[in-house]
Amino acid sequence: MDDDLIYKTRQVLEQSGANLPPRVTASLAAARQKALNAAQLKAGQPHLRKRFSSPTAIWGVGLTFASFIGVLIALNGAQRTSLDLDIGRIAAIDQKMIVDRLPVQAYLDPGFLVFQEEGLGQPASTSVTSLVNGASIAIREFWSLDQLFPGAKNSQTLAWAKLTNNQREALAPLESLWTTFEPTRKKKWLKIADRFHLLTPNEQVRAQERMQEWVSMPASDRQQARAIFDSVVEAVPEEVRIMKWNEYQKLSPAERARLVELAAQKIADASPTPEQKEIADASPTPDQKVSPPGPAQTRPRSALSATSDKPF
Amino acid sequence: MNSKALDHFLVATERRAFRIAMIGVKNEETALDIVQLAMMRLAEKYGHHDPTEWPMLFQRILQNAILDHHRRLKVRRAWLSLFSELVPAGQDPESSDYSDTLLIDIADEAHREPEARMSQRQVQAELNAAIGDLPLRQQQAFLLRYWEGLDITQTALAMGCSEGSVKTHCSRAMKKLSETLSFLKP
Repeated sequence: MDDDLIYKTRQVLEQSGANLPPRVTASLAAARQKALNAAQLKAGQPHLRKRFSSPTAIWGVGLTFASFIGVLIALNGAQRTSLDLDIGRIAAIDQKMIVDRLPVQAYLDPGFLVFQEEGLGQPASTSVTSLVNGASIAIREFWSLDQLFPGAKNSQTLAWAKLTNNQREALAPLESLWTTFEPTRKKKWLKIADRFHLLTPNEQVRAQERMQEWVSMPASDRQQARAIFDSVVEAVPEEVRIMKWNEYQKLSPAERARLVELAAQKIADASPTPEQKEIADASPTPDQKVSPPGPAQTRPRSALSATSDKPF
Repeated sequence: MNSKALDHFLVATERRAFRIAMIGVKNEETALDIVQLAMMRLAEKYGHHDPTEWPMLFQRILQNAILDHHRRLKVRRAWLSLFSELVPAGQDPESSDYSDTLLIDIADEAHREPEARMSQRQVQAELNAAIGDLPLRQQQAFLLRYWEGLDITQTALAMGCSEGSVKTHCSRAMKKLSETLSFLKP
């Protein structure tokens, strides 16, 4: 009897369930859709509320986050200080270079560098080899912050319109290019502008004539010229450099080619041993390495140039 | 969460859920609200569970919602009884909660044809009335076991009681229904 009653009861209930009025079926469909939407909405949210629901968890996460932010600020501060020092040092070198009486190409010509060294009887460890061994590589650090935090600095404060009259006057040749400069590059030029009034009128004219040429050079050439200039400027007086440059200009093409070849040989001799190279290869980034130069014959003007082609 | 599986489950369940809620609360609007509530809670809280758990979980939510409705009703009645003297005779302030249109319509129809052979719709009405007259827990146990097809363990979980209680409720429900629905006897 029970089984029969259950069977008939089920049958009747099924029929009553199947014959629901349209208003009820429509309401059920709407309710179902609402439930599915709510579930999808909830599934789309990460389980943050659940995970961080307890006060202990919130404090733990907060403290961890605060520590992390603290470390970041400290690291950023240290790096910023280092960066400012680098900007100052590079600005000083650039200022000397753009007022130097020798053209920039002189410092990119390996033949002239060898000629100068030979004439002065200096060991080959000054300009050429010091470059190969990685001198003046602090320049490379110049890019780190801009690369890590592109646009992080407020370039609005370095906008051309916001510069002082003296700064605008000193950097007038760069006005059209100013917006294309990265914040760090602008800072470097502003440091040069702030010391511009210390130059003699002749130096000021020469500096402004050289500015556009300097910024239009490939970054690798600028780095190269900077590194070599930095290594010879103290060792060789300006007058001597000028004299040697004039003598070098009078050399025959064959003689110059011999010097370029000699420079390449010196560079090869001064290149790191496999062990040194291994150590150099382990350095953090390729941008931080000055690669061995290519053949002097194929690229005489910038035979010692680094591979980095970043603007500076 | 598998939305498609949940959708299929709700489609397969919603009509029976409505009938169960209807029998439990005897009001269409309230029954629809309860079914919607059960669907929402299942989807939000248990949507990521194994779909095999959904039938039991859904029924538990549904039955709890029906129980909650009755508890609220009981409290309201207790308060209203205090003011019963102020209510004019013949007007039941609770009447709207019991205006089960389906049951009333069917009951009316049954009254219009007292001598006629019981139609399918009349059988349905008798059955609805008989189940509706069962105590709520017996009603729940009976519907979950014999309509929803849950086993004793699942029914006990859905009802939040022991398996022994389920057996007792089912046994008493069957006894009463077999007395009331004697016309179904062969």
